[in-house]
Amino acid sequence: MSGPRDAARRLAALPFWYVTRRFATLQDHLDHQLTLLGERFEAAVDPERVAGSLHRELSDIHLAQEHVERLARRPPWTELVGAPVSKLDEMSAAFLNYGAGPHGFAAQAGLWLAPEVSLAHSTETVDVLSVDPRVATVAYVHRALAGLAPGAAVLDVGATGSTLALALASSGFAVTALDPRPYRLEHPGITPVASRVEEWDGPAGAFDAIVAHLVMEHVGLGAYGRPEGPPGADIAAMQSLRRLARPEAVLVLAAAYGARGDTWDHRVYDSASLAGLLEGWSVGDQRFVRRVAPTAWTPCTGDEAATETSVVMVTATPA
Amino acid sequence: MSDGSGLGRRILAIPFWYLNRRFATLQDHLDGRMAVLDDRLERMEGGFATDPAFAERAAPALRGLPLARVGPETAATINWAVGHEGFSAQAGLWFNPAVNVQLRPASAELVAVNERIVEVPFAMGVAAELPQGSHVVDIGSAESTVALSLASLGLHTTALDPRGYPLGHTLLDVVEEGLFDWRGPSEPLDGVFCVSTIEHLGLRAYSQPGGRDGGDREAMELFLRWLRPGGLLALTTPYGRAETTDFERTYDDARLAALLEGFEVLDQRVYRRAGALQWEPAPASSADWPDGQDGVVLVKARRR
Repeated sequence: MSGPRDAARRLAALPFWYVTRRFATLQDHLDHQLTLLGERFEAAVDPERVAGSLHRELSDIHLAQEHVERLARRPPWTELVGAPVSKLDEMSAAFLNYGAGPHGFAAQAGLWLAPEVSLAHSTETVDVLSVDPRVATVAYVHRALAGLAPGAAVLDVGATGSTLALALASSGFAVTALDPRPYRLEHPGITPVASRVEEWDGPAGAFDAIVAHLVMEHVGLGAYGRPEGPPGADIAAMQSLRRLARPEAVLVLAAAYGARGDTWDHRVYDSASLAGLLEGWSVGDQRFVRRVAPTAWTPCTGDEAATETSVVMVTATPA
Repeated sequence: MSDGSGLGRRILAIPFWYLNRRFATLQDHLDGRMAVLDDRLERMEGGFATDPAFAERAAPALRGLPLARVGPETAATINWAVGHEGFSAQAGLWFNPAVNVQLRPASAELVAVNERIVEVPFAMGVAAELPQGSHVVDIGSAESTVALSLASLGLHTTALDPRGYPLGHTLLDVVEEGLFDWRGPSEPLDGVFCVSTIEHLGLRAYSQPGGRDGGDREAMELFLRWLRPGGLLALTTPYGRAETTDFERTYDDARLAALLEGFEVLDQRVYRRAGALQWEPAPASSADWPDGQDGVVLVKARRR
């Protein structure tokens, strides 16, 4: 027979095991759910390629979640149109930086043209982010070609992403725009050629001027989504350019120079490697600019350029 | 009837019922939170197609949004924001691009090429003749990177514009004044660069007071005074049938010749618009210039 005392004992004993069991069940359930979520995160991240970056990825995802939540509450984008810059908020700024940048929408359409001055939108303001060496090198190309006769045949190597070929064609030159990527700026004076420079079997001795503007440092490397080529592809490319040039042709070269060291997608020339690159060419003018601030490039000597982030600019003729 | 045993059972029953309900509530709550998390992940993993309105407004926060997802409001907003009245312009950082690309829903389009495509190369050709260390002035320098290019090539450059100049360089002096208000350079100039500016001087363009119909010729007199003998002028301006509006002048051969009095013209080239996206060399004569035909003349001249 069970009396009140037995009931009290059972009451005291049962909730503990019951609670324990229910908590265990709940914990199993949560563990299972979290495992599923974890697998989804891991599947999204290649552990070999981005080893150690899982935490960062998760932080990014968390940040993006916050953005999504804030965006879902924010007014439509079009309410920005006509607004004073003081109304520019962090999220819109980040979006503009992406959308108008080198990986943004015009870029995806093949119509992003590298600006000389890059801007950064941020809360309530817009600032200069950086100044590209093009601010000096494009000017150098134009100055080097200023004496060229109207209608001259000009080869622009690595033309895509720049208005240089269009500017030369508009100025009255017959321009061949050579690039593995399509050249999207059309002009009757432009003949686009979709090829890597080292593989192009172009007409020998056909060009009055050859422009290799900030391109040789990328030739044959895995830059711009191209497969990697053989070592020394830049030297081979320059030799092929030599074949394409008329005997009295002008070569205008601008290339990364200095102390930074090579990376996976571009070389940085020094005096020895530049000499190798220019073998077969007779250098008429050589000058350097170096980065003195994120927003400024200034002329310098070769010695100064050798220890800084620099660009070399060369005008040469076939030797 | 309630005895001791019945009371015990009732007491015993309460915790089961109560705990069951609380656990069930807690589990429902956690399941609900998990579902929300799961939904967010789903959206982030690219499930935007199921909800285009959400994608249009929310997806831009995520890096790598594809062009295909750009809708009309996103395109319109970016076009405005980076255009001549947008945020960068309000910050004084809009640089009139030679090639104008506009975003459209799921695409981008080349809409115009302006005369900068030939003016800037020509100006740089003139700069080529000036050795490093030369002193030059860029007249009306705002909305252009010409002054910064000149400084980057080693020329001591004064950027003169009533709107100021937003870019800095050790070889660049910025004078935030109108041309007619400036006291002039401290030493004779080796070069004056006047790219798409002379046609506005003295008129009510760019918030200027106007009222100087001969402002263009007055400016040329100043250039003659500031340049050393043999100093170079790079001048670019609209060309065609002579015309003056509140905003700008267009020069024909006669007007141009009068403008250049006191200078020796070393090189003069005329270009015309041959389509929205195209400029080309044109015969250097305004005698039978068609009405409405956009043109530009590029002049390299030397102070006699």
